[in-house]
Amino acid sequence: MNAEFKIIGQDFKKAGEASFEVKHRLKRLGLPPDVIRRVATAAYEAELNVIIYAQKGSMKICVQEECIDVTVSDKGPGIPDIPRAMQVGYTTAPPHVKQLGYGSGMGLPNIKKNSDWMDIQSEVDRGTTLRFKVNLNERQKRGK
Amino acid sequence: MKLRDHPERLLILQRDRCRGCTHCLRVCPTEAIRIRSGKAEVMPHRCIECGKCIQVCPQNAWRVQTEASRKIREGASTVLLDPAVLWQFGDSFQGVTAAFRDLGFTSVEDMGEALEVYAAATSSYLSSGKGPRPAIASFCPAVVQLVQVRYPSLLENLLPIISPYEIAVKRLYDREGEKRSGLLYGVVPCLAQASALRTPSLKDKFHGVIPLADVYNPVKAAISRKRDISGETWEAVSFLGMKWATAGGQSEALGKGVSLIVDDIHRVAGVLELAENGLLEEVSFIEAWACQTGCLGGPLTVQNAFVARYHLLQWLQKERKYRRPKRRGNTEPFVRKQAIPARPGMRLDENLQRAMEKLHRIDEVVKKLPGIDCGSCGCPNCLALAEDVVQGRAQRNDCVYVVRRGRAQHQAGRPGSGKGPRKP
Repeated sequence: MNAEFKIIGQDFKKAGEASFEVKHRLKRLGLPPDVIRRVATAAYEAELNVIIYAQKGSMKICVQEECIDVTVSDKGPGIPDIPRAMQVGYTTAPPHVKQLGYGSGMGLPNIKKNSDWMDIQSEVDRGTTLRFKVNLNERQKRGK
Repeated sequence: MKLRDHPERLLILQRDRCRGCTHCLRVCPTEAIRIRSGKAEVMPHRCIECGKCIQVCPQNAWRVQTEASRKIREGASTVLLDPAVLWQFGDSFQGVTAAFRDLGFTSVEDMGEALEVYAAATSSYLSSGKGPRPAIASFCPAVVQLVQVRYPSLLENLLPIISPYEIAVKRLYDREGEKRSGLLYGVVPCLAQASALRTPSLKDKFHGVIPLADVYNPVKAAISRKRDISGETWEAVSFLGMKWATAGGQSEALGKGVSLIVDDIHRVAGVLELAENGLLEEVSFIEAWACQTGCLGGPLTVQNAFVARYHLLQWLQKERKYRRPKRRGNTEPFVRKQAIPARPGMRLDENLQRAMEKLHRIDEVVKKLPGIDCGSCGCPNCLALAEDVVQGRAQRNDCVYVVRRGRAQHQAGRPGSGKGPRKP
Protein backbone atom coordinates (compact mmCIF):
# COMPACT_ATOMS: atom_id res chain seq x y z
CA MET A 1 0.00 0.00 0.00
CA ASN A 2 1.24 3.45 -0.86
CA ALA A 3 -0.24 6.74 0.16
CA GLU A 4 0.91 10.31 0.20
CA PHE A 5 -0.19 13.25 2.33
CA LYS A 6 0.60 16.94 2.00
CA ILE A 7 1.95 18.94 4.91
CA ILE A 8 1.69 22.73 5.04
CA GLY A 9 4.37 24.67 6.91
CA GLN A 10 3.45 26.87 9.90
CA ASP A 11 -0.08 25.44 9.99
CA PHE A 12 0.01 24.39 13.64
CA LYS A 13 -3.74 24.09 13.84
CA LYS A 14 -3.60 21.13 11.49
CA ALA A 15 -0.55 19.61 13.11
CA GLY A 16 -0.96 15.86 13.27
CA GLU A 17 -3.52 15.43 10.50
CA ALA A 18 -1.19 13.57 8.16
CA SER A 19 0.11 11.26 10.86
CA PHE A 20 -3.41 10.65 12.21
CA GLU A 21 -4.47 9.65 8.72
CA VAL A 22 -1.48 7.33 8.42
CA LYS A 23 -2.36 5.76 11.75
CA HIS A 24 -5.97 5.29 10.74
CA ARG A 25 -4.95 3.47 7.58
CA LEU A 26 -2.56 1.18 9.41
CA LYS A 27 -5.37 0.23 11.78
CA ARG A 28 -7.52 -0.72 8.80
CA LEU A 29 -4.78 -3.14 7.81
CA GLY A 30 -4.96 -4.79 11.22
CA LEU A 31 -1.24 -4.32 11.95
CA PRO A 32 0.06 -5.05 15.47
CA PRO A 33 -0.86 -2.25 17.92
CA ASP A 34 2.74 -1.76 18.97
CA VAL A 35 3.87 -1.19 15.37
CA ILE A 36 1.06 1.30 14.82
CA ARG A 37 1.95 3.21 17.96
CA ARG A 38 5.61 3.49 16.96
CA VAL A 39 4.86 4.57 13.40
CA ALA A 40 2.26 7.06 14.64
CA THR A 41 4.64 8.63 17.15
CA ALA A 42 7.54 8.89 14.73
CA ALA A 43 5.34 10.15 11.89
CA TYR A 44 3.86 12.83 14.13
CA GLU A 45 7.30 14.12 15.08
CA ALA A 46 8.40 14.14 11.45
CA GLU A 47 5.24 15.97 10.43
CA LEU A 48 5.81 18.58 13.12
CA ASN A 49 9.35 19.18 11.91
CA VAL A 50 7.99 20.10 8.48
CA ILE A 51 5.36 22.38 10.02
CA ILE A 52 7.89 24.12 12.28
CA TYR A 53 10.73 24.65 9.81
CA ALA A 54 9.53 24.35 6.24
CA GLN A 55 7.00 25.93 3.87
CA LYS A 56 5.63 22.69 2.57
CA GLY A 57 6.29 19.03 2.49
CA SER A 58 4.80 15.62 2.13
CA MET A 59 4.57 12.32 3.93
CA LYS A 60 4.74 9.11 1.93
CA ILE A 61 3.93 5.81 3.46
CA CYS A 62 4.67 2.43 1.99
CA VAL A 63 3.61 -0.79 3.66
CA GLN A 64 5.90 -3.64 2.69
CA GLU A 65 5.99 -7.26 3.65
CA GLU A 66 8.63 -6.78 6.31
CA CYS A 67 8.30 -3.19 7.36
CA ILE A 68 6.55 0.12 7.13
CA ASP A 69 8.57 2.68 5.22
CA VAL A 70 7.82 6.36 5.81
CA THR A 71 9.41 9.19 3.86
CA VAL A 72 8.88 12.80 4.89
CA SER A 73 10.39 15.37 2.60
CA ASP A 74 10.18 19.13 2.63
CA LYS A 75 11.32 22.28 0.90
CA GLY A 76 12.87 24.10 3.80
CA PRO A 77 16.06 25.47 5.34
CA GLY A 78 17.76 22.08 5.61
CA ILE A 79 19.85 20.81 8.51
CA PRO A 80 23.47 22.04 8.52
CA ASP A 81 24.71 19.71 11.26
CA ILE A 82 22.76 16.44 11.34
CA PRO A 83 24.65 14.71 14.22
CA ARG A 84 24.02 17.77 16.37
CA ALA A 85 20.33 17.83 15.40
CA MET A 86 20.08 14.25 16.59
CA GLN A 87 21.09 15.26 20.13
CA VAL A 88 18.37 15.26 22.75
CA GLY A 89 17.32 18.82 23.59
CA TYR A 90 19.12 20.49 20.70
CA THR A 91 16.78 22.78 18.78
CA THR A 92 16.88 25.68 16.37
CA ALA A 93 13.16 26.42 16.61
CA PRO A 94 12.32 30.14 16.67
CA PRO A 95 10.89 31.60 19.91
CA HIS A 96 7.32 31.93 18.59
CA VAL A 97 7.27 28.18 17.90
CA LYS A 98 8.64 27.37 21.33
CA GLN A 99 5.93 29.54 22.81
CA LEU A 100 3.41 27.21 21.23
CA GLY A 101 5.02 24.34 23.09
CA TYR A 102 6.78 22.83 20.10
CA GLY A 103 10.45 22.56 19.19
CA SER A 104 11.83 21.13 22.42
CA GLY A 105 14.59 19.25 20.65
CA MET A 106 12.99 15.85 21.13
CA GLY A 107 11.71 15.27 17.59
CA LEU A 108 14.56 13.50 15.83
CA PRO A 109 15.67 11.52 18.92
CA ASN A 110 12.06 10.39 19.31
CA ILE A 111 11.90 9.24 15.69
CA LYS A 112 15.13 7.31 16.21
CA LYS A 113 13.75 5.75 19.39
CA ASN A 114 10.54 4.60 17.71
CA SER A 115 11.98 3.31 14.45
CA ASP A 116 14.19 0.41 13.47
CA TRP A 117 16.07 2.31 10.77
CA MET A 118 16.39 6.00 10.02
CA ASP A 119 18.12 8.17 7.46
CA ILE A 120 18.32 11.93 6.89
CA GLN A 121 19.39 13.57 3.64
CA SER A 122 19.56 17.33 3.83
CA GLU A 123 20.81 20.24 1.79
CA VAL A 124 20.96 23.70 3.36
CA ASP A 125 18.43 26.13 1.85
CA ARG A 126 16.98 23.35 -0.32
CA GLY A 127 15.27 20.91 1.97
CA THR A 128 15.35 17.72 3.94
CA THR A 129 14.27 14.16 3.30
CA LEU A 130 13.79 11.98 6.33
CA ARG A 131 13.08 8.32 5.95
CA PHE A 132 12.41 5.77 8.64
CA LYS A 133 11.28 2.17 8.84
CA VAL A 134 9.46 0.18 11.48
CA ASN A 135 9.71 -3.58 11.22
CA LEU A 136 6.48 -5.51 11.24
CA ASN A 137 7.72 -8.45 13.27
CA GLU A 138 9.79 -6.29 15.53
CA ARG A 139 9.48 -8.51 18.60
CA GLN A 140 11.08 -11.50 16.92
CA LYS A 141 13.87 -9.47 15.39
CA ARG A 142 14.83 -7.83 18.64
CA GLY A 143 14.69 -11.20 20.32
CA LYS A 144 12.23 -10.02 22.92
CA MET B 1 -14.37 -6.66 32.17
CA LYS B 2 -14.91 -7.51 28.55
CA LEU B 3 -13.14 -10.62 27.47
CA ARG B 4 -15.31 -11.65 24.56
CA ASP B 5 -14.87 -11.06 20.91
CA HIS B 6 -18.05 -9.10 20.65
CA PRO B 7 -20.85 -8.31 23.05
CA GLU B 8 -23.89 -10.41 23.63
CA ARG B 9 -26.80 -8.66 22.00
CA LEU B 10 -28.61 -6.74 24.68
CA LEU B 11 -29.36 -3.89 22.32
CA ILE B 12 -32.59 -4.55 20.46
CA LEU B 13 -34.16 -2.50 17.70
CA GLN B 14 -37.93 -2.25 17.78
CA ARG B 15 -38.28 -2.47 14.04
CA ASP B 16 -41.80 -1.09 13.88
CA ARG B 17 -40.59 2.13 15.47
CA CYS B 18 -37.44 2.61 13.36
CA ARG B 19 -37.85 4.97 10.40
CA GLY B 20 -34.33 4.57 9.10
CA CYS B 21 -33.73 8.27 9.76
CA THR B 22 -29.89 8.15 10.09
CA HIS B 23 -29.63 9.88 13.50
CA CYS B 24 -27.95 6.86 15.10
CA LEU B 25 -25.90 6.23 11.97
CA ARG B 26 -24.10 9.54 12.38
CA VAL B 27 -23.26 9.42 16.08
CA CYS B 28 -21.86 5.90 16.28
CA PRO B 29 -18.18 6.28 17.26
CA THR B 30 -17.13 3.03 15.58
CA GLU B 31 -19.36 3.32 12.49
CA ALA B 32 -21.10 0.13 13.55
CA ILE B 33 -24.56 1.05 12.24
CA ARG B 34 -25.97 0.81 8.73
CA ILE B 35 -29.49 1.46 7.48
CA ARG B 36 -30.58 -1.51 5.38
CA SER B 37 -34.04 -1.74 3.84
CA GLY B 38 -35.06 1.30 5.82
CA LYS B 39 -34.10 -0.07 9.24
CA ALA B 40 -31.02 0.34 11.42
CA GLU B 41 -28.69 -2.61 11.76
CA VAL B 42 -25.75 -3.04 14.13
CA MET B 43 -22.49 -4.77 13.23
CA PRO B 44 -21.83 -6.51 16.55
CA HIS B 45 -18.09 -6.88 16.06
CA ARG B 46 -17.78 -3.11 16.04
CA CYS B 47 -20.41 -2.10 18.60
CA ILE B 48 -18.86 -0.78 21.84
CA GLU B 49 -22.22 -0.44 23.59
CA CYS B 50 -21.83 3.26 24.36
CA GLY B 51 -25.54 3.78 23.78
CA LYS B 52 -25.22 6.94 21.68
CA CYS B 53 -27.74 5.44 19.28
CA ILE B 54 -30.25 4.99 22.12
CA GLN B 55 -29.80 8.60 23.17
CA VAL B 56 -30.30 10.24 19.79
CA CYS B 57 -33.16 8.12 18.46
CA PRO B 58 -36.20 10.40 17.96
CA GLN B 59 -38.49 7.36 17.72
CA ASN B 60 -37.25 5.71 20.90
CA ALA B 61 -36.71 2.60 18.82
CA TRP B 62 -33.75 1.09 20.69
CA ARG B 63 -34.29 -1.03 23.75
CA VAL B 64 -31.95 -2.72 26.17
CA GLN B 65 -33.42 -6.13 26.68
CA THR B 66 -32.36 -8.13 29.69
CA GLU B 67 -34.13 -11.13 31.13
CA ALA B 68 -34.93 -9.08 34.25
CA SER B 69 -36.55 -6.34 32.18
CA ARG B 70 -39.64 -8.47 32.09
CA LYS B 71 -39.95 -9.84 35.56
CA ILE B 72 -38.41 -9.36 38.95
CA ARG B 73 -38.79 -12.59 40.84
CA GLU B 74 -40.21 -12.67 44.31
CA GLY B 75 -38.21 -14.05 47.20
CA ALA B 76 -35.11 -13.12 49.13
CA SER B 77 -33.21 -10.85 46.83
CA THR B 78 -30.60 -8.16 46.99
CA VAL B 79 -30.40 -5.23 44.62
CA LEU B 80 -27.16 -3.41 43.91
CA LEU B 81 -27.71 0.20 42.83
CA ASP B 82 -25.37 2.00 40.48
CA PRO B 83 -24.41 5.42 41.93
CA ALA B 84 -26.35 7.15 39.15
CA VAL B 85 -29.62 5.57 40.30
CA LEU B 86 -29.97 7.61 43.48
CA TRP B 87 -30.01 10.97 41.71
CA GLN B 88 -32.87 10.19 39.35
CA PHE B 89 -35.57 11.16 41.79
CA GLY B 90 -34.92 14.80 42.59
CA ASP B 91 -34.47 15.60 46.23
CA SER B 92 -36.30 12.48 47.33
CA PHE B 93 -33.25 10.24 47.01
CA GLN B 94 -33.53 9.54 50.72
CA GLY B 95 -36.50 7.35 49.98
CA VAL B 96 -34.88 5.27 47.24
CA THR B 97 -33.78 2.43 49.51
CA ALA B 98 -37.21 2.14 51.08
CA ALA B 99 -38.81 2.27 47.66
CA PHE B 100 -36.76 -0.68 46.40
CA ARG B 101 -37.72 -2.64 49.54
CA ASP B 102 -41.29 -1.77 48.82
CA LEU B 103 -40.88 -3.33 45.38
CA GLY B 104 -39.93 -6.64 47.00
CA PHE B 105 -36.17 -6.57 47.43
CA THR B 106 -35.08 -7.70 50.86
CA SER B 107 -31.85 -5.76 50.89
CA VAL B 108 -30.54 -2.76 48.99
CA GLU B 109 -26.85 -2.10 48.47
CA ASP B 110 -25.15 0.94 47.01
CA MET B 111 -21.76 0.94 45.32
CA GLY B 112 -20.13 3.57 47.54
CA GLU B 113 -17.86 1.24 49.44
CA ALA B 114 -16.77 -0.73 46.37
CA LEU B 115 -15.95 2.50 44.58
CA GLU B 116 -13.76 3.63 47.48
CA VAL B 117 -11.88 0.37 47.33
CA TYR B 118 -11.51 0.84 43.57
CA ALA B 119 -10.21 4.37 44.15
CA ALA B 120 -7.72 3.08 46.75
CA ALA B 121 -6.53 0.38 44.35
CA THR B 122 -6.20 2.99 41.59
CA SER B 123 -4.28 5.27 43.89
CA SER B 124 -1.82 2.59 44.91
CA TYR B 125 -1.33 1.53 41.27
CA LEU B 126 -0.60 5.12 40.22
CA SER B 127 1.94 5.64 43.02
CA SER B 128 3.62 2.32 42.23
CA GLY B 129 4.79 3.80 38.93
CA LYS B 130 4.08 0.49 37.20
CA GLY B 131 2.61 0.30 33.72
CA PRO B 132 2.58 2.86 30.91
CA ARG B 133 1.31 6.43 31.33
CA PRO B 134 -1.21 7.90 31.02
CA ALA B 135 -3.21 5.30 32.92
CA ILE B 136 -6.76 5.20 31.58
CA ALA B 137 -9.77 4.67 33.83
CA SER B 138 -11.41 1.32 33.22
CA PHE B 139 -14.62 2.02 35.10
CA CYS B 140 -16.68 2.91 32.02
CA PRO B 141 -17.01 -0.34 30.01
CA ALA B 142 -17.81 1.57 26.82
CA VAL B 143 -14.45 3.35 27.07
CA VAL B 144 -12.75 -0.03 27.58
CA GLN B 145 -14.49 -1.34 24.47
CA LEU B 146 -13.55 1.79 22.52
CA VAL B 147 -9.89 1.09 23.36
CA GLN B 148 -10.33 -2.56 22.32
CA VAL B 149 -11.78 -1.65 18.94
CA ARG B 150 -10.12 1.64 17.97
CA TYR B 151 -7.04 2.14 20.19
CA PRO B 152 -5.60 -1.34 20.85
CA SER B 153 -2.12 0.09 21.43
CA LEU B 154 -3.51 1.68 24.62
CA LEU B 155 -4.86 -1.56 26.11
CA GLU B 156 -1.96 -1.73 28.54
CA ASN B 157 -2.77 1.78 29.72
CA LEU B 158 -6.15 0.68 31.08
CA LEU B 159 -6.12 0.42 34.87
CA PRO B 160 -5.33 -3.18 35.83
CA ILE B 161 -8.05 -3.29 38.46
CA ILE B 162 -11.20 -5.41 38.52
CA SER B 163 -14.41 -3.46 38.05
CA PRO B 164 -16.23 -1.86 41.02
CA TYR B 165 -19.09 -4.28 40.35
CA GLU B 166 -16.72 -7.21 40.78
CA ILE B 167 -15.43 -5.59 43.97
CA ALA B 168 -18.97 -5.05 45.26
CA VAL B 169 -19.89 -8.67 44.62
CA LYS B 170 -16.64 -9.88 46.17
CA ARG B 171 -17.35 -7.89 49.32
CA LEU B 172 -20.91 -9.10 49.46
CA TYR B 173 -19.69 -12.69 49.38
CA ASP B 174 -16.90 -11.98 51.86
CA ARG B 175 -19.43 -10.52 54.26
CA GLU B 176 -22.05 -13.19 53.97
CA GLY B 177 -19.73 -16.11 53.43
CA GLU B 178 -20.01 -18.94 51.00
CA LYS B 179 -23.50 -19.70 52.17
CA ARG B 180 -24.73 -16.52 50.56
CA SER B 181 -28.00 -17.38 48.94
CA GLY B 182 -30.81 -15.42 47.39
CA LEU B 183 -30.90 -13.59 44.13
CA LEU B 184 -28.78 -10.63 43.22
CA TYR B 185 -29.96 -7.91 40.84
CA GLY B 186 -28.10 -4.91 39.51
CA VAL B 187 -29.71 -1.65 38.40
CA VAL B 188 -27.62 0.04 35.73
CA PRO B 189 -27.75 3.41 33.93
CA CYS B 190 -26.41 2.20 30.60
CA LEU B 191 -26.10 -0.55 28.03
CA ALA B 192 -22.37 -0.90 28.67
CA GLN B 193 -22.74 -1.69 32.38
CA ALA B 194 -25.68 -4.00 31.66
CA SER B 195 -23.43 -5.91 29.31
CA ALA B 196 -20.48 -5.82 31.74
CA LEU B 197 -22.63 -7.63 34.31
CA ARG B 198 -23.20 -10.37 31.74
CA THR B 199 -19.48 -11.14 31.32
CA PRO B 200 -18.23 -14.52 32.57
CA SER B 201 -16.78 -13.17 35.84
CA LEU B 202 -20.12 -11.70 36.93
CA LYS B 203 -22.73 -13.62 34.99
CA ASP B 204 -23.30 -16.39 37.54
CA LYS B 205 -23.38 -13.87 40.41
CA PHE B 206 -26.13 -11.67 39.04
CA HIS B 207 -29.51 -13.19 38.59
CA GLY B 208 -30.68 -10.25 36.60
CA VAL B 209 -29.66 -6.88 35.26
CA ILE B 210 -32.30 -4.19 35.36
CA PRO B 211 -32.11 -1.19 33.04
CA LEU B 212 -32.67 1.93 35.14
CA ALA B 213 -35.34 3.21 32.75
CA ASP B 214 -37.41 0.04 33.32
CA VAL B 215 -37.57 0.47 37.07
CA TYR B 216 -37.89 4.25 37.19
CA ASN B 217 -41.68 4.48 37.29
CA PRO B 218 -42.33 1.86 39.98
CA VAL B 219 -39.60 3.34 42.19
CA LYS B 220 -40.90 6.86 41.69
CA ALA B 221 -44.39 5.70 42.62
CA ALA B 222 -43.11 3.85 45.68
CA ILE B 223 -41.24 6.96 46.82
CA SER B 224 -44.41 9.03 46.62
CA ARG B 225 -46.33 6.41 48.58
CA LYS B 226 -43.67 6.34 51.28
CA ARG B 227 -43.22 10.06 51.49
CA ASP B 228 -45.56 10.65 54.44
CA ILE B 229 -44.37 7.68 56.42
CA SER B 230 -41.37 8.46 58.50
CA GLY B 231 -38.87 5.68 58.88
CA GLU B 232 -36.19 4.21 56.77
CA THR B 233 -34.03 6.63 54.89
CA TRP B 234 -31.00 6.01 52.77
CA GLU B 235 -27.66 6.71 54.32
CA ALA B 236 -24.65 6.86 52.10
CA VAL B 237 -21.85 4.52 52.93
CA SER B 238 -19.38 6.75 51.27
CA PHE B 239 -19.25 10.39 50.32
CA LEU B 240 -16.47 9.96 47.78
CA GLY B 241 -18.04 6.90 46.27
CA MET B 242 -21.26 8.76 45.60
CA LYS B 243 -19.59 11.50 43.65
CA TRP B 244 -18.26 8.80 41.37
CA ALA B 245 -21.42 9.02 39.29
CA THR B 246 -20.35 12.31 37.82
CA ALA B 247 -17.34 13.22 35.71
CA GLY B 248 -14.53 14.47 37.94
CA GLY B 249 -15.59 12.24 40.81
CA GLN B 250 -12.96 9.59 40.20
CA SER B 251 -10.10 12.04 40.24
CA GLU B 252 -11.47 13.60 43.40
CA ALA B 253 -11.68 10.18 45.02
CA LEU B 254 -8.04 9.57 44.17
CA GLY B 255 -7.23 12.65 46.17
CA LYS B 256 -3.97 13.51 44.47
CA GLY B 257 -2.64 15.43 41.56
CA VAL B 258 -4.57 16.66 38.57
CA SER B 259 -6.15 14.24 36.14
CA LEU B 260 -7.33 14.67 32.60
CA ILE B 261 -11.10 14.47 32.78
CA VAL B 262 -13.03 13.85 29.57
CA ASP B 263 -16.66 12.95 28.95
CA ASP B 264 -18.66 12.03 25.82
CA ILE B 265 -17.36 9.15 23.73
CA HIS B 266 -16.35 11.31 20.75
CA ARG B 267 -14.28 13.61 22.92
CA VAL B 268 -12.80 10.57 24.65
CA ALA B 269 -11.76 9.32 21.22
CA GLY B 270 -10.07 12.67 20.54
CA VAL B 271 -8.03 12.40 23.73
CA LEU B 272 -7.11 8.76 23.09
CA GLU B 273 -5.93 9.74 19.62
CA LEU B 274 -3.41 12.10 21.22
CA ALA B 275 -2.43 9.57 23.87
CA GLU B 276 -1.76 7.03 21.15
CA ASN B 277 0.71 9.38 19.48
CA GLY B 278 2.62 9.64 22.76
CA LEU B 279 1.56 13.24 23.33
CA LEU B 280 0.11 12.81 26.81
CA GLU B 281 2.94 11.08 28.61
CA GLU B 282 3.07 13.77 31.27
CA VAL B 283 -0.56 13.00 32.20
CA SER B 284 -0.73 10.43 34.95
CA PHE B 285 -4.42 9.52 34.80
CA ILE B 286 -7.20 9.95 32.24
CA GLU B 287 -10.68 9.82 33.70
CA ALA B 288 -12.81 8.99 30.67
CA TRP B 289 -16.59 8.68 30.42
CA ALA B 290 -18.64 7.60 27.44
CA CYS B 291 -21.55 9.83 28.46
CA GLN B 292 -21.74 13.54 28.96
CA THR B 293 -21.39 14.39 32.70
CA GLY B 294 -20.53 10.74 33.43
CA CYS B 295 -22.97 8.01 34.45
CA LEU B 296 -25.68 10.55 35.28
CA GLY B 297 -25.93 11.07 31.52
CA GLY B 298 -26.26 7.35 30.80
CA PRO B 299 -28.59 6.27 27.98
CA LEU B 300 -30.90 4.43 30.40
CA THR B 301 -31.29 7.31 32.85
CA VAL B 302 -34.53 9.26 32.99
CA GLN B 303 -33.66 12.45 34.84
CA ASN B 304 -31.89 15.24 32.98
CA ALA B 305 -28.18 14.67 33.71
CA PHE B 306 -27.54 18.25 34.81
CA VAL B 307 -30.53 18.30 37.14
CA ALA B 308 -29.34 14.99 38.59
CA ARG B 309 -25.90 16.46 39.11
CA TYR B 310 -27.43 19.46 40.85
CA HIS B 311 -29.15 17.21 43.37
CA LEU B 312 -25.99 15.19 43.90
CA LEU B 313 -23.90 18.31 44.53
CA GLN B 314 -26.55 19.72 46.82
CA TRP B 315 -26.50 16.59 48.89
CA LEU B 316 -22.70 16.60 49.00
CA GLN B 317 -22.76 20.13 50.35
CA LYS B 318 -25.19 19.24 53.10
CA GLU B 319 -23.30 16.12 54.00
CA ARG B 320 -20.25 18.01 55.17
CA LYS B 321 -18.38 15.28 56.90
CA TYR B 322 -16.11 13.42 54.55
CA ARG B 323 -16.31 9.77 55.32
CA ARG B 324 -12.91 8.51 54.46
CA PRO B 325 -12.68 4.74 54.22
CA LYS B 326 -11.78 3.38 57.64
CA ARG B 327 -9.08 1.07 56.41
CA ARG B 328 -7.70 0.88 52.94
CA GLY B 329 -6.06 -2.45 53.53
CA ASN B 330 -4.45 -4.57 50.91
CA THR B 331 -5.53 -3.74 47.37
CA GLU B 332 -3.81 -6.79 45.92
CA PRO B 333 -6.99 -8.91 45.65
CA PHE B 334 -8.43 -6.31 43.30
CA VAL B 335 -5.70 -6.45 40.68
CA ARG B 336 -6.96 -7.65 37.31
CA LYS B 337 -4.93 -10.66 36.24
CA GLN B 338 -6.16 -11.19 32.69
CA ALA B 339 -5.10 -8.94 29.83
CA ILE B 340 -7.89 -7.24 27.88
CA PRO B 341 -7.71 -8.40 24.25
CA ALA B 342 -7.91 -6.19 21.19
CA ARG B 343 -11.03 -6.50 19.04
CA PRO B 344 -10.27 -6.35 15.33
CA GLY B 345 -13.44 -4.41 14.53
CA MET B 346 -11.82 -1.88 12.20
CA ARG B 347 -9.56 -4.29 10.33
CA LEU B 348 -10.44 -4.79 6.66
CA ASP B 349 -9.10 -8.34 6.33
CA GLU B 350 -7.19 -10.81 8.44
CA ASN B 351 -4.71 -11.23 5.61
CA LEU B 352 -2.41 -8.21 5.30
CA GLN B 353 -2.02 -8.52 1.54
CA ARG B 354 -5.77 -8.63 0.99
CA ALA B 355 -6.29 -5.79 3.48
CA MET B 356 -3.90 -3.63 1.45
CA GLU B 357 -5.70 -4.44 -1.78
CA LYS B 358 -9.01 -3.53 -0.17
CA LEU B 359 -7.63 -0.26 1.16
CA HIS B 360 -6.43 0.57 -2.33
CA ARG B 361 -9.82 -0.25 -3.86
CA ILE B 362 -11.59 1.83 -1.21
CA ASP B 363 -9.41 4.78 -2.26
CA GLU B 364 -10.55 4.23 -5.86
CA VAL B 365 -14.24 3.90 -5.03
CA VAL B 366 -14.37 6.90 -2.72
CA LYS B 367 -13.06 9.18 -5.49
CA LYS B 368 -16.27 8.59 -7.42
CA LEU B 369 -18.56 9.38 -4.48
CA PRO B 370 -19.78 12.93 -3.85
CA GLY B 371 -18.04 13.33 -0.48
CA ILE B 372 -20.94 15.04 1.23
CA ASP B 373 -21.57 12.29 3.81
CA CYS B 374 -25.35 12.60 3.51
CA GLY B 375 -26.12 9.14 4.89
CA SER B 376 -28.86 8.44 2.32
CA CYS B 377 -27.12 5.26 1.20
CA GLY B 378 -27.40 3.89 4.72
CA CYS B 379 -23.71 4.32 5.56
CA PRO B 380 -22.45 6.98 7.96
CA ASN B 381 -20.28 8.66 5.30
CA CYS B 382 -18.92 8.24 1.76
CA LEU B 383 -15.77 6.50 2.95
CA ALA B 384 -17.87 3.94 4.83
CA LEU B 385 -19.92 3.29 1.68
CA ALA B 386 -16.70 2.79 -0.28
CA GLU B 387 -15.60 0.30 2.35
CA ASP B 388 -18.94 -1.52 2.25
CA VAL B 389 -18.77 -1.70 -1.55
CA VAL B 390 -15.30 -3.25 -1.37
CA GLN B 391 -16.39 -5.62 1.40
CA GLY B 392 -19.40 -6.68 -0.65
CA ARG B 393 -21.91 -5.25 1.81
CA ALA B 394 -23.23 -2.52 -0.48
CA GLN B 395 -23.26 -1.32 -4.06
CA ARG B 396 -22.05 1.91 -5.55
CA ASN B 397 -25.59 2.50 -6.81
CA ASP B 398 -26.77 2.79 -3.22
CA CYS B 399 -25.54 6.37 -3.57
CA VAL B 400 -28.31 8.57 -4.95
CA TYR B 401 -25.78 10.92 -6.54
CA VAL B 402 -24.06 8.11 -8.39
CA VAL B 403 -27.44 6.96 -9.70
CA ARG B 404 -28.45 10.47 -10.73
CA ARG B 405 -25.15 11.06 -12.49
CA GLY B 406 -25.48 7.74 -14.26
CA ARG B 407 -28.97 8.62 -15.45
CA ALA B 408 -27.84 12.04 -16.69
CA GLN B 409 -24.99 10.52 -18.65
CA HIS B 410 -27.31 7.92 -20.07
CA GLN B 411 -29.73 10.60 -21.26
CA ALA B 412 -26.93 12.69 -22.68
CA GLY B 413 -25.61 9.77 -24.61
CA ARG B 414 -28.99 8.95 -26.18
CA PRO B 415 -29.17 10.13 -29.79
CA GLY B 416 -31.71 12.86 -30.46
CA SER B 417 -32.41 13.71 -26.83
CA GLY B 418 -30.84 17.09 -27.36
CA LYS B 419 -30.03 17.50 -23.71
CA GLY B 420 -26.63 17.77 -22.16
CA PRO B 421 -25.67 16.07 -18.95
CA ARG B 422 -26.97 17.63 -15.77
CA LYS B 423 -24.54 17.90 -12.97
CA PRO B 424 -25.75 16.44 -9.72
